Amino acid sequence: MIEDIAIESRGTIKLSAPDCTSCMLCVRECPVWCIEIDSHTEQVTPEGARRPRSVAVLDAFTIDWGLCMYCGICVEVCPFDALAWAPSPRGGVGEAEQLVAGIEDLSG
Amino acid sequence: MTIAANSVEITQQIEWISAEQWRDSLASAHRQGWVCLDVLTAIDRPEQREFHVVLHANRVDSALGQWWGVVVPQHDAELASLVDVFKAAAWHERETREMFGITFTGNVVSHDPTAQGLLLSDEAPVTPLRKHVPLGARVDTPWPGNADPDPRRSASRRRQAPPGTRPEWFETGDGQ
Repeated sequence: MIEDIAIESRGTIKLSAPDCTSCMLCVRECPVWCIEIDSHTEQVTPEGARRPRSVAVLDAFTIDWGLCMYCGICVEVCPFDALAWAPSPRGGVGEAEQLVAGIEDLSG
Repeated sequence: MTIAANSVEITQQIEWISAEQWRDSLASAHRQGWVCLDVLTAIDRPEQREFHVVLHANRVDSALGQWWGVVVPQHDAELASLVDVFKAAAWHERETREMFGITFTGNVVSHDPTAQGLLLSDEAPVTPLRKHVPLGARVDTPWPGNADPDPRRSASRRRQAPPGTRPEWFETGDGQ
């Protein structure tokens, strides 16, 4: 889980990928459609279990900072606290495509 | 963690005026010192079949501002112009006519159906701020929320509509 910080510190939004279950709540609640998730399910049989379970595996998670309006609804709706505000704002970029941040960028 | 926006209080109330009193009430407010027209615009309320026309004016002798509002029925979208009260209303009323289709009686340009548009190009949709007019970016872009990791939860079984859209935008065309 990402460390809790003051709500005033709306610099950027961080992703804790291991906590994300690909439930799609943030994607579907985002008013500006700036979040995209790509994932698939895998069959996992926990030790001692009789039958395999379906587990969602996160393949890609992107936030397009060119669309995001920093409303924080995604942070609010995430049931697993995989998204959280972080204090340091993002730096500028030279190309519009660089505003699309993936898992590695959002986890840093 | 609570969201900060929940604790923001709306400190400015709207003073609602009847359509018949709209011009006279604002003329009276102007005489009382509310001389600086800040904004005049409208809100489409299709379910109520009405518009809210709202106006914000400031004083120059203090830092105070005030909202006024009027309900205009959509079947008779006409309101008295304020151009003889606030000169700046001419521009705002033309814009509101163009974006919502409300006619301002007494605003020479707004009242003239042949008058040229103020902001929109000829290719732009008519009255684009009416809510039934589709937002191009929302209709043309695939909604990222359609993706689902679990194939058993198909999009057709889900009832949630994409945020920021209205069902009537998708009723024609390819049956999305």
